[in-house]
Amino acid sequence: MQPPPEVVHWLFSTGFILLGLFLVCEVAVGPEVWRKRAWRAYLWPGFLFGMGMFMWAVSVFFTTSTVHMIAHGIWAQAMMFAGACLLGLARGKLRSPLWTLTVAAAFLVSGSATLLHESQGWLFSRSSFLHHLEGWAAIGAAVFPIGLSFLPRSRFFSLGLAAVFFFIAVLLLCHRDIAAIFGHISPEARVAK
Amino acid sequence: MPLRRLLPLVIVAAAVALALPALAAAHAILGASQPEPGQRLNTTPTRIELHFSGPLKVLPTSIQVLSSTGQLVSGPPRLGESDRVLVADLLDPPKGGYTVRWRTLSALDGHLVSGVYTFGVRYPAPPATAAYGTTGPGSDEQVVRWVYFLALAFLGGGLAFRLVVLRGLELPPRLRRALTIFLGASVVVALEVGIIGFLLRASNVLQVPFSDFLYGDVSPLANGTRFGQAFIALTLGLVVVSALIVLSWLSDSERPLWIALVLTLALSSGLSLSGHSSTGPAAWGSVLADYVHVAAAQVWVGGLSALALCLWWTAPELRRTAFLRFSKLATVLVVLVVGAGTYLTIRRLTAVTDLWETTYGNVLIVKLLLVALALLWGGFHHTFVRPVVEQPGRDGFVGRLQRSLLGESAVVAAVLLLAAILVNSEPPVPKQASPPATPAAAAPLAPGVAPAPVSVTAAPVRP
Repeated sequence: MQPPPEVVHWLFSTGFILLGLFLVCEVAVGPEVWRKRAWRAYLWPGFLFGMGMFMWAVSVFFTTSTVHMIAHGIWAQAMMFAGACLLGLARGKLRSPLWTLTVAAAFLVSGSATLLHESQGWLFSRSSFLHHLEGWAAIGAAVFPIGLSFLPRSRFFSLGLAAVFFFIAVLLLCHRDIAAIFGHISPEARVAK
Repeated sequence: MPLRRLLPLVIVAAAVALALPALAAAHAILGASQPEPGQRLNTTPTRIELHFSGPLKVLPTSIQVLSSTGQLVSGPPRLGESDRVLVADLLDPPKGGYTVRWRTLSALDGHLVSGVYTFGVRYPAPPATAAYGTTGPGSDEQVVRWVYFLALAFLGGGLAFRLVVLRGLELPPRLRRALTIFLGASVVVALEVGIIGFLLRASNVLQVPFSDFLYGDVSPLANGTRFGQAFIALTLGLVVVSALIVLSWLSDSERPLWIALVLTLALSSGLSLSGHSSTGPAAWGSVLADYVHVAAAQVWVGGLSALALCLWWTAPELRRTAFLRFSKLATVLVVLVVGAGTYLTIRRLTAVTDLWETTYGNVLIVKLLLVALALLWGGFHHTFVRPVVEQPGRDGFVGRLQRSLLGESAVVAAVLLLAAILVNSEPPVPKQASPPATPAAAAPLAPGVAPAPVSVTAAPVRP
């Protein structure tokens, strides 16, 4: 008994929206106010790490194609690794802000995996278009954590990172045309139910 | 950039994404099928139906139903009630196990998708790993399985070393860091190699070129076989173990590592459950012995490696204490390894001659020789080295022990390689007294010779 793939996409979309909201909240109130409660420092890194753990479940339970299994495994590892490094930074186990570059590495690896696992061109189909858009968005998004590793208090880079998470969340919602926000547009949607 | 200026960009991007033409999202995947994967049918099926999630294009080899001898029992494939259904007539398949190999073109995204599953006609369906055309584990799979064993050994042994051998000692930060890296690297390698091992087996089962394998359906292997279930359990378990290691690193607490140790030792049972020992009569005794055998060997080699690779470099002041403590633990581990190994040897060999007459026996002989070497090495450490180490003022002697410890680790690691091969191998089958005579082979009686009376005793067949 496993949920339909679109439900899993929605769950991860929700996760990315929350990641973005955490970052926006921190920027809105400022790091000093945000960290007045110690647990808030671990909120978005811990959430990223947890999403990586859940992505493993997607990798091993949704095995209808090898390439998707591998791609989800890569995304899971990228999220867990980046999340663990950010947790180490928040805890003080890691000191150099350059560890934020692991988030950039996660974006680059995830984006490359997304592009490599799509064998068709941009305009072949909706899914192809979304995969290309997600891949290049992730690769382009690496600029924000790179900026944060050199300017950790930059509002621009923090909000840019949050915007990327929102954008990826929207793309994930678009992935299945039986999603509620634009369901019943395609004849495929009706049959897939 | 102020939030007010960034927000419109996000809204525009979201609107563009939502306004895209809505087509189907992914390539066609197999949903329902008739017969179902793993199904045992009590009547002879007349046709096979495969229902996909998207439209298809039919290829000449879109459906092939093969008997256990490789005979094709399906007619030419065609589309069924819609362009999402593939159908082929079955040519009155007799009783037996059957393999379904399907390969079709997903019309929406142009991907060539393929898969395999099995069913039985008045006969149990064979597991997907035994589908027709599948060969046994190759040398690449054996090596990958060995690395998997080693990574789990480093993980379990490293955790046992950290928690049991170093219990109550004040650990210097360098040693803590080294052990964390050792455990982290072990769990990552175990995860990666586990995936590689699964995909190697899957490619062997699917029997398609690599480019097609990328879009191959491996779900019958993942969900319908013990091998696949063990892979899922081990992967998810290792993910939890990795999280516990991170938690312990962040909190400087040993408690998460205790849970990780218990979980890792429990996960080692997956190696036995997915191997050969879980089949046959009274399999649980065999599985338990196999588990104890492998887990004890893993803690042995992993603990030795953690001692020689982590502690020796980072905490010279703890070498003596750690060596003496590990020596005690190793004695218990050796007893478990030898005891369980002896039980397994007796159970699996039907006769002493199997040792030199079968491949399984040949591998076992090499393994026994290596085990003997490891026991001699460990016995040397225990009997001759330990008393010297216990004497005060022998720090120079203790410092020179590292190579010897690494040598012992290497021998036990080689034993694990052979254990990895044996777990995947078929033990010797008991020989039958004589083949049953067939009526056709019976010689006709000569004229004038009276037939001798024949007495037949029927005994109930043991289940």
